[in-house]
Amino acid sequence: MSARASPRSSGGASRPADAAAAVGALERWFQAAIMHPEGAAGAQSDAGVAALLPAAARSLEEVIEPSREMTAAERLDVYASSYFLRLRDVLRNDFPGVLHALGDEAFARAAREYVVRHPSSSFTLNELGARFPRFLAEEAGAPEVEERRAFLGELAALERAVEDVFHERRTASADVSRLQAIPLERWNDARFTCIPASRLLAFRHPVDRYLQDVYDEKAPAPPAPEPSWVLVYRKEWRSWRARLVVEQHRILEALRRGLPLGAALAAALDGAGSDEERIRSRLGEWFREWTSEGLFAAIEVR
Amino acid sequence: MAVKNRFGLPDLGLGLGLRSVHFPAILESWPPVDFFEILSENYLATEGRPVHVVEQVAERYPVVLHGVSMSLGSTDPLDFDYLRRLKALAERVRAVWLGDHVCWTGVAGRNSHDLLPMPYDEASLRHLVRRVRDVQEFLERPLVLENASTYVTFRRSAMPEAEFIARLAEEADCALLLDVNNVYVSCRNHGWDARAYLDAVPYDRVVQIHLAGHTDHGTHCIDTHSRPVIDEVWRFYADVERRTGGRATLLEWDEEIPSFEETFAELQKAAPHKQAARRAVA
Repeated sequence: MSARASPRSSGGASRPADAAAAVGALERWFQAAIMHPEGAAGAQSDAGVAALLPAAARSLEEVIEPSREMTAAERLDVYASSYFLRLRDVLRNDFPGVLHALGDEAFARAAREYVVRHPSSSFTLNELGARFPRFLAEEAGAPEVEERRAFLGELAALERAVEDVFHERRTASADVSRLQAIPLERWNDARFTCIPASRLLAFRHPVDRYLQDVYDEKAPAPPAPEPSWVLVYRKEWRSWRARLVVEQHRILEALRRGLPLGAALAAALDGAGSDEERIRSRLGEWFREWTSEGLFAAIEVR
Repeated sequence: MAVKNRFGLPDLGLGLGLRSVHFPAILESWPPVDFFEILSENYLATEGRPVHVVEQVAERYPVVLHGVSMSLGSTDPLDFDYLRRLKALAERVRAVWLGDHVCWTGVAGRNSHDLLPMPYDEASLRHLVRRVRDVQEFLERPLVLENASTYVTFRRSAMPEAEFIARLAEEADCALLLDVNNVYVSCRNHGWDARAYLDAVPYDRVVQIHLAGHTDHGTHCIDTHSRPVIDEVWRFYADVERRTGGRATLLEWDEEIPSFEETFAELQKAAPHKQAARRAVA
């Protein structure tokens, strides 16, 4: 390797602050160049990036050496290209439904725009897609997204919930015996605490059905609006999705707000009219199923 | 004469990087792998199945931690939340050692999730030595730092990479993980003499060796961990094992990951070299 030092180099800095300053200037420039939306070539013609060149260098060639086969810019582009490709692949992996809906090229464009707007600031790639649903719903500029913004945002929210639940903290679940121990006359006072590894979602599109079709490789077309409700939860280390009817969603939502069962049912049945009897007849089945699926961390009567 | 490591850390034998696609095969058969290396970041922000699996693995095998986000070379403040989690994970899995890379991953609060290169000059060395010492003090154990593959060289570099890393290890009193595939990749990319590189490594500080495959693009190589180990890298490995008398050896495979059986078979190609090194010491 070359062993020459630039006359402008501050590489001989010996005090900690000087050393950090010399290193930091180079890092800020290098990072701006490899994270440039248009890659290393775009960074080269960007005055903002050029202004960050360290130690009074006037071009990247004064900072980075060429190799026998590659120019300095081509070598820098190895990092710039892999930066976007790596993060795009993480998003592809976390959002297979959105990938199907957009197709490879449009997804790649959306992913690049997202990474430019929301670069990772976490040590873990688990966090990379945290803002992707909102980005699709509100920010993304690609025309393919613009056309179906609400659907894509909801689909991404569902996929993100699956990911979040997978990584959530562990808690034990209350078993069915806790449910059976509640005297009939105390049911209205019962409080149900959901496990942290659960999410309750309401959508304007049937995104769960769409996502399942993607998993089943049925190549679904974008669906027309149709309200849907989904419970995402973890059981035995896997994320599960359960489609709900609106009353189930209302009950669980009220329970998650801390309401006792009686008040939760009242909220859910408000306006149910003639359906009330039908809904009440299914309550036992619903709660047995939710409890056996481990949805509740605690079932208490105070 | 083989060089012992000054940390008294054991030659753990032949290990594999623990990857989620191999979880079912591992949990079903508990294969005869000598140790597993886990990518620290995959277990620091989850309480899900990965942690459940790694706890079971740690009950049966020695485990070492290998990170990619410590960002020792960065001029951002050290991330003590990250370090606290890392320390807790190391205790949880009774890690034999833990380490990261001679690199930085981001600055100004950003993370590129890549192992970014540093100029090999006095400023970088002073900066890194101080940070490595601080981290070691916090973690209460020596770090095991790896030479990363690099794709650029800086005009202001003033010493060869091997010398830079040797001085870092000496001045920060840390251990080293010698990735012989990275030696090959960086030497190819920069026109360095790999023999001179290997001659300059302070083997008394090397406690682990990495093996992996890479992708050769003709003009440059990229450390993709997506291929079998090439013959030249096997020769480097045999040389290092001979010099050291045997160090814990780990095969990495991170893209286009084959079945567990195929990955294990690739690892077993290291066995004759390790046996020869051990025989020579005995």
